[in-house]
Amino acid sequence: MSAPGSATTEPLLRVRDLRVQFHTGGGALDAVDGVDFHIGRNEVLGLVGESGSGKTISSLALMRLVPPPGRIVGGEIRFDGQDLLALAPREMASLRGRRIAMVFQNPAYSLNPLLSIGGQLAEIVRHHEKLSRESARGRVLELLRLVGIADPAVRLRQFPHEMSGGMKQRVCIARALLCDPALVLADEPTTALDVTIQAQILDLLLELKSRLHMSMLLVTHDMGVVARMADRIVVMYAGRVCETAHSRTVFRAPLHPYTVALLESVPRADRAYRRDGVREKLPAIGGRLPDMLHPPAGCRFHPRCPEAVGECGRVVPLPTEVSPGHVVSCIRRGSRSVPVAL
Amino acid sequence: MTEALVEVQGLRKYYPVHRRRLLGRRVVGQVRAVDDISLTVRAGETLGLVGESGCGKTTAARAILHLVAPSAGRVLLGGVDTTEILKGGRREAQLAVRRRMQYVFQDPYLSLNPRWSVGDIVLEPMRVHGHVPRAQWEHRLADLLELVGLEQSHAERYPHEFSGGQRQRIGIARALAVEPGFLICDEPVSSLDVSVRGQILNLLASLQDTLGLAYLYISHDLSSVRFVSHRVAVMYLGRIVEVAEVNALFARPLHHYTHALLRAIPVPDPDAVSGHSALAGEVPSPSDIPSGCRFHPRCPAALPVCRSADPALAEAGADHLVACHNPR
Repeated sequence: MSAPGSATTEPLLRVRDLRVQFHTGGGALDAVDGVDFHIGRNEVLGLVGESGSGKTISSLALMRLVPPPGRIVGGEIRFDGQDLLALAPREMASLRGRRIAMVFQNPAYSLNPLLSIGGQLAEIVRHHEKLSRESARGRVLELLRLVGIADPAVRLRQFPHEMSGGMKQRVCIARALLCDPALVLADEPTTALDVTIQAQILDLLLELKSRLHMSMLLVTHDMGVVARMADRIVVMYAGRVCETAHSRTVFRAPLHPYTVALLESVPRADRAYRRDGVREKLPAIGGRLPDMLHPPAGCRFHPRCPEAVGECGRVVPLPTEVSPGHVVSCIRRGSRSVPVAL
Repeated sequence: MTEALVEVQGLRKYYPVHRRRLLGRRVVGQVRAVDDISLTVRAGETLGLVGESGCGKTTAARAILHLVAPSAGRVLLGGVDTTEILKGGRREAQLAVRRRMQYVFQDPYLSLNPRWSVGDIVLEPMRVHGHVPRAQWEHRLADLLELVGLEQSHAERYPHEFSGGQRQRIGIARALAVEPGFLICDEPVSSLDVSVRGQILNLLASLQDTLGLAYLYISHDLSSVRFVSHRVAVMYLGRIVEVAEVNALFARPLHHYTHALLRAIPVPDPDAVSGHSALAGEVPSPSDIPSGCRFHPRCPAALPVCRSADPALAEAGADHLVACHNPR
């Protein structure tokens, strides 16, 4: 397993062969099954997939926050020279929220309803940086101002229920940035918001990223959002990576049949579907998402794949670099493969 | 195609705001969730109704079907005033109206009784309405399941055995059981995974072609609205601000709110100039609606007149209505 591309500068984060298993009553479920990716400094990596693709679990694994009965059972996560899976729980806890921070999907659930905004944000800085009450308050005010909250001194005393969804998400972003993290994990940060508010929050995240020189992992199912935000994209399906490439390559020259189908099957606002009263059909993907307890053998997309051949069910495609920075796992695209283990 | 099937006229739904007092409570204001909307759905067409959360689109849909009693206004279905009948008509007359308009709900996990088999769920409307002789139920059930792309064996299974997309098909089969001419689809695909959304959107389109259904398709997702709709109505704070043919609306929106909304949609193209916030601020509360044009505090092109005069929805070209003093 050699590092593809730029080997001279080690990326901020490198994930190799990550495996997360859930032990359920029905058996072991491989939610994340050998995932590789890296995030460079000052880069936004989009992690795209549907429910059950393992995108959220992968991002939680970076924080070592996989909920039980899930367990990280293999792989390596190197962050800024450290092996995160080898850290003692105390060391990991000091990293969490300080060097790596998270912005969650639903700001209504990720803020404590019983604490004032100022209270819950100050607690974080005081815990990590041992600041005095006064300087913690100053830091919180500075961050609230940075994320575009008017009257931060007033907001400080307010409670989450007194704020709109967009405002709460701004608070969550401020919270993530309190300790000046090197990496922000944003899991569907705008899915719970309306389009006009979503656009404001996406603008804000991009602006902060370049101002504060941080890296971001953006987890989403929305191809429009990644197109706007990501430098590179990882497409996941049923616990495995299908395709990794620069954003423009994913949209202009996607190779994996799942990526292609995903892009084609979603209606687009910038395209007319009706000409002279005739409506086109959407090229929808047939079938449905696999049952992860009994995933298909071989390539996990093959039962729904328009290009599948018999071999697709007998061999597991391996991530193969087909051009610089473009990694695909599909035998129909020239990927290497190994026979299905019996 | 041009014949109006459903005519909504001056529909309003206000909710009182109470304040508790020492004895009892007193009405201190009103939330104007739906505030004087009029629209037409033609036979066999899809009218998309878009807007952000809280703009009143779901309340409007429920008021049209009289699932909540409207505060004012009426809904004509094929020229017949349904509001009167549903408010206090005879049961048979009410059922006759209900058979012509049905609802497909947003969440297929919450809208199906988990303790009923699929067969029971789809047959329930026939039990209530009694419009199909019992001897034909089996046959009718088989037809409905086939129509929505389910298998006959599914009739004996229970909702938890199905995926979201299949559950939505069950919900559609139930709505079609009474052979309606008009369906209100309230965000029918937003709780589904992206790879199955296309299947349900295609199903709705093909049902429209084979059965000649008219849809009111409610969504905040403008991309799916662009795909399903013939015409689109845009709602803001309880009002309809623009109605136009779908391609005209997306290509040349006249209302500044529509324009901002369209610009905000992130498009799957890294080089697109989209997904930017063209609008500052947030939607005001429907209990404290701005004077004049309700969009004026956020409007980039507001004139002094916008603060005082409420613009009416007026003709602005062929099949294009807009409520704006200073359209784009």
